[in-house]
Amino acid sequence: MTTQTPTEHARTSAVSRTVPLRGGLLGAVGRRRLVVLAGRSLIFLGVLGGWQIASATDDSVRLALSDPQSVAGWIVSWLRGDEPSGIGALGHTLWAALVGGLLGVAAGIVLAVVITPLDKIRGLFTPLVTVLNAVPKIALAPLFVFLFGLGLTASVYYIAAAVVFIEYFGVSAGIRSVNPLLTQHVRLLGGGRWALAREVYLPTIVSWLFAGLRLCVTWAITSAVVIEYLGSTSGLGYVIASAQQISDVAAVIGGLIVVSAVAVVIDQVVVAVDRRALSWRDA
Amino acid sequence: MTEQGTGKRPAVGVEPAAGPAVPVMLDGDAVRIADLRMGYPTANGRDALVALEKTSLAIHPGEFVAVVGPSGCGKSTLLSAISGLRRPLEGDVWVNGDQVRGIRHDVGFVFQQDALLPWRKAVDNVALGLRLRGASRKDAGAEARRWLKRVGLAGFEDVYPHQLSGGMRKRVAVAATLVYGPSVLLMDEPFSALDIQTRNIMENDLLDIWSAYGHQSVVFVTHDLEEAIGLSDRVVVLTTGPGRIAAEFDIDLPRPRNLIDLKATRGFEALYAEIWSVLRDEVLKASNLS
Amino acid sequence: MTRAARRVVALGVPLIPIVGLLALWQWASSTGRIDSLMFSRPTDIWREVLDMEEAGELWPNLRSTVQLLLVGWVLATVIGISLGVLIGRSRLAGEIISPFLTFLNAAPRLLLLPLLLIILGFGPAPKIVLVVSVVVVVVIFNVAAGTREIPEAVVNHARLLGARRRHLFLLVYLPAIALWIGSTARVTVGYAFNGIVAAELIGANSGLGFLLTQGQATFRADTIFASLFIMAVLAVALDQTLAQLERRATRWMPRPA
Repeated sequence: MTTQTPTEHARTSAVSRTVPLRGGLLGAVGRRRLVVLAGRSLIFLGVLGGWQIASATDDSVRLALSDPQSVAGWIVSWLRGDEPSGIGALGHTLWAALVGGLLGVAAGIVLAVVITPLDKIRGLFTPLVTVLNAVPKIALAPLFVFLFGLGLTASVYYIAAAVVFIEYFGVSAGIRSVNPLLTQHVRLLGGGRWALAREVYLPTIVSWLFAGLRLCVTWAITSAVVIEYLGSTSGLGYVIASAQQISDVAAVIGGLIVVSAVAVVIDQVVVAVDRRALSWRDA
Repeated sequence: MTEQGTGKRPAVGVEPAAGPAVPVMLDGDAVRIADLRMGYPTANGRDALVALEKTSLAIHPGEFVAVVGPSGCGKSTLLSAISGLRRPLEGDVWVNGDQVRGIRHDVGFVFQQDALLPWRKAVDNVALGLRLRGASRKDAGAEARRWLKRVGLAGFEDVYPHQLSGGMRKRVAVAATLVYGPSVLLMDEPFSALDIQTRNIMENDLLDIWSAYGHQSVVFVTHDLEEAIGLSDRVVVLTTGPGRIAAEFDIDLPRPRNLIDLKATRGFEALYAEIWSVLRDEVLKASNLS
Repeated sequence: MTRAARRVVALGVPLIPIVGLLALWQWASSTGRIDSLMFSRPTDIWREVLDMEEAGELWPNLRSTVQLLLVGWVLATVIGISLGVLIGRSRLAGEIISPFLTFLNAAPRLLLLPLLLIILGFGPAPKIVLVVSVVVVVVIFNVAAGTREIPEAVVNHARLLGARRRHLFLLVYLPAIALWIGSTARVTVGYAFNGIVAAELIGANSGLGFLLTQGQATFRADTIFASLFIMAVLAVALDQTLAQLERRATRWMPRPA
């Protein structure tokens, strides 16, 4: 829709381009925003309310699912540091996820950059990678604990192993998807190998890197918590595991909520960065 | 409809201040539009962007009317009003005597984009209109095959749309639309995506099918003035948005026509120049705004 | 080279790196370069697989995993389609639910397992619920996207041809949804597989994950690797089957160049 300057408006027809819709005070858009907000609030409060009522009226529900206050109470006291592991647990988990994630992403990129251009070798490599990728990642966790013991090393290697495939496949596909017209274009402009790498391949790689990043982040955090749950003495996974052992449901749910909230926040940050940094991409 | 000499009808509905201008219409009009105003809600939700402003038009039975105008003049919106796909802000539309109050089933619509169901073969796509009206699979299939032959696609019945060229897909679309016998045919720049040679062939074939199999009342939207003149009995020029009818021109070129030799037809150049002088102004106005 | 020989070569070449890796592993383990108690050996692993089969452990556990996997996946797909269509068709519903879905998608659903074990005890129920929770969110997203991506011209064309709402669903929406389900099946089944194995790692007494934890509990590397091997074979078999199905189901689509 073009906005008309006053002079253009006078020059064109005497009839105005927009007319008021019969809509009421807020207009269609305002009303819609209200409905959406109302809908979301309804769902949120409904779930919370239902939970509260069920746990208050039915003992078995309260034993199994705890109630909103207890969970909230646990989260608050955990944030304050009353719980034995405290925020340090979160830090431990995120640190493992970060180190393992970076390692995996770096390895994935290096492998993709090295292997993809060499068609013959890629042909040899792909079936192996596909099979390795097919094994459920979760099953590798006990293996890594078995091999590297309980502790940060196992976590980091496991997370890296889970993440490396995502980036390898993503970047590899990206390199192969580079439009040959672009490379021809750069060559015709006089660009050599370095120019090609810088102007064509690098942006493509970065773009595909970010495309997989969201998945990597989620996997990294999940894997970190999971392997801690299976056999560690620190981190949020451990907190949840020990809570489960003493059937402290409020703590288990609280821990889950904390992990989910952190994962969501980081996910949204990645989305925002992705959108900003790569605005040249078509949606 | 076709009179001697180039007939320029007085512009209808141009002066809003002159009161509602309802054109003289016969009772048997195929399509009748009165004071139609069409619009789309703007981003703020409170206003509507007017696409079509106080337009009145009558299409006679069996008449082929082309609608031309600059981009954004509301040509396609006109078609969605007639078909019932969109409701007007103000004004009324009648098709075959009764008012349009929802999607019409006596109207056929050939869209600009690919509208065939991609997961159905050509024959199934053509048979669909009949099947939805209760025909048996056998009958619908037989009729579908007959229509595919008429549009020149015998042998391509069991082929999926993606395996056909753009022109062939449009032929299937025409067949799928005409198979259930609508009396009004709406076409929204159906050939604009095709190359010029294919386009001319398609235009000729359209005229053949139209005159041989139904002689429907047609409203054909296009931005190609040559195509409009070549196909139609009357050309309606819309102003730039909000669109109103700027002028109407009777096309009295003799039928049957051949669009490949159109330029050599006597009377064509004069018609083209006359209509273009009106259209050009509207196109310039439109480009000044953007 | 004859055609037959060429085909053998074509099939054999991809196996070279796998065989090579196995050979390297075998050599390193046998000569003590790596600790054979920790890393095991291909020959030992294979022997363990055969032992499992003899002891009647292999097939029942494999069957249990596959059954629960499929039940969970089908359930998740059905639920996902219903919600996905709702969100895809109604812009309003989509907007309302979107933050919840984003939360659920980013939240690691695998971690629900401890909670499910508390609520549902040990048995098939927590496993199925976990698989469903992992897969359903992905299906909802895919189905919603697939529904929204249907070109408006196709929908309008069908409506003008006379399609009422239920016709539209059968003729236009269902095929589009089926396409999305089919083309994402490999990914969603992969997630489901992950979910079921995760559920079998904790407090289960059947399934491939259970075999894995048994190996862990008895400090038997060969058992651990044998279970992983069986999982890998199952994964590849599932993947290939789904790839075939996908190819058959989308023969009406243009092949990417």
